[in-house]
Amino acid sequence: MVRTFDEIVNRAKEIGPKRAAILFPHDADVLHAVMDGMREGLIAPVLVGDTERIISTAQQSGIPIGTMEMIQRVDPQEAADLCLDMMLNNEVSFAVKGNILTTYLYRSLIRVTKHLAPDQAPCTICFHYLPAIKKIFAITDPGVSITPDLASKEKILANTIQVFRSLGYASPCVMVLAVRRFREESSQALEEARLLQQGAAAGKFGPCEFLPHTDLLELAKGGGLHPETFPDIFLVPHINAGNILVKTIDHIMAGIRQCVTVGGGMIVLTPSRSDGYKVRIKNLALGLALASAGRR
Amino acid sequence: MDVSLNTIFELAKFLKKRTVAITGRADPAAFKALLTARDRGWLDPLACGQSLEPLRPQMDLLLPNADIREARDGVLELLENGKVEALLDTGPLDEDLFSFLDHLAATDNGTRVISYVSVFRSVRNGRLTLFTDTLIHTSPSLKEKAGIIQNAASVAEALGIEHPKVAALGPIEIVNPAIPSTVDAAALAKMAERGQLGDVIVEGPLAMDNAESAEAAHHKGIESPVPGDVDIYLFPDLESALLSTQFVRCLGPFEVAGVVAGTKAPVIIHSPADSPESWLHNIVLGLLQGKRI
Repeated sequence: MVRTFDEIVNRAKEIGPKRAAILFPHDADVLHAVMDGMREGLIAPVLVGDTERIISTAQQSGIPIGTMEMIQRVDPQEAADLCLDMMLNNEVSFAVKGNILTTYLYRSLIRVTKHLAPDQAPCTICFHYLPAIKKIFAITDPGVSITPDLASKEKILANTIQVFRSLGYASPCVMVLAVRRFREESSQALEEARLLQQGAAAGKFGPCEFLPHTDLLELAKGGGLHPETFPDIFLVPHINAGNILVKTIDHIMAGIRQCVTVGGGMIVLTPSRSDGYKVRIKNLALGLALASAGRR
Repeated sequence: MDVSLNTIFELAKFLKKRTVAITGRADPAAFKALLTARDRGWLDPLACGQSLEPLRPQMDLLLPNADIREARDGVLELLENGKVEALLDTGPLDEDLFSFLDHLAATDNGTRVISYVSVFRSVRNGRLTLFTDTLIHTSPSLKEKAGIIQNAASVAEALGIEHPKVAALGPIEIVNPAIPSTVDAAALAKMAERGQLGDVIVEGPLAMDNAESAEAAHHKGIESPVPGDVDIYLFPDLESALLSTQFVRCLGPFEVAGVVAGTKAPVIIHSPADSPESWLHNIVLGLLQGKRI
């Protein structure tokens, strides 16, 4: 079981490099991370994008990409589709988002997931590390589903719990977030949280622990803000809450964040386009660790 | 970087001493802060209702037989008659309290929107930073969001923040009709640009990363004075606001205080998302909101 991003990097280095499709590596930060990922033995990159632009960026930034494999695709949707097809055909182990709108990758991933595993819902999982907690925890889904219903939430949780198992968590601890609104007795999110807890108790998600709390204040009252008792997985009610929360942790609270989008056994690293190179290299290690854990 | 809220106490020197009616349940933390505020000369307290009997040795007690609801009704009369200038309610935060607040909605800007503003200091620049609405509106409409921004701007003004910059948050920085928060945020930015929201600069939609970093925003093609220099974060809904505020309060080094905004007289309460020890900060924040009287 890994508890920090450094442990994930160490595990990835032990595993050794895997082929990874880098989608639209059109700026220097992305190319730097790819280059260092290759030097660190994390990836054997396949650069997919506008090759002329990639070469020009590399030359301007002094990044030696001469030996890297490149595939010309200018249309973003065609490029995203190609990356997922390469993963589907076992030509690469995972894909990495470069300078492209995430929407293109989500579309491709939804298509492939429907084909491979129609019962699954692709979801984004953001892993965080905060000094106050001293272990990684994840928030899902801040990226793909805008307003997931109960069935979608079940699929998102099943997906995320499986990812944690692949990282060595035998029984991940889950908390479904649904704040109590002061003017209402209940809410849809609270009701769905209760149903998800009941489903978990009935064994719907396999070995895992669901906390009865639905917000952090309740958790704090129960003494849960310690590494041993803090949840591994938080399910958010919708994309507004999830996306703003993960970026609040990252930017307001100075935490560390690594994002991956999964579905149908496909692994797509989805760093934000605003992420710098240090964030991206740790992201590569996460992709490698997940790809080597027999997700497919 | 010091992120304590003690800077708020420095603003207390600008306070005009007010008569404050106290209602609600017996809350030792609130009582302690109240007596400290009195001793510092910030307010003259007037307890109202049977539940505040423990305060009788310390101050006058009005309506000694009234329950909390009756005491709140009585306080509205005192306010109308000019016998008190501000209110402090120790809870509970129930429907009765929210109805009480509804009666106190200001009408001077035509919005009749009451909202809550959470205040903490940024780790990045040490400045007071405002999150809103962190208590009252579950899914505010565009009109309500406009009022929430104006309310937060008046809180910012009371804190000495001139021409506050507002990030209208969404999950992404482009307008997507499938995500209503992005549409509202864009409309609010346009309303502000046309001068409809007063002396504020609003940018939106902004995801939190490009709100916090001018470089990240520039990377995404957003050219605006707001990213990297935000005073007020407008959240699209209560779940987004509360979850983020709870994480900031529980897992960060931050103290979080809060204030009701949009009322015709200062109202001091304590939200669960506020730090437990923030009552005294909340009192100063509340008393600073005096311009509407």
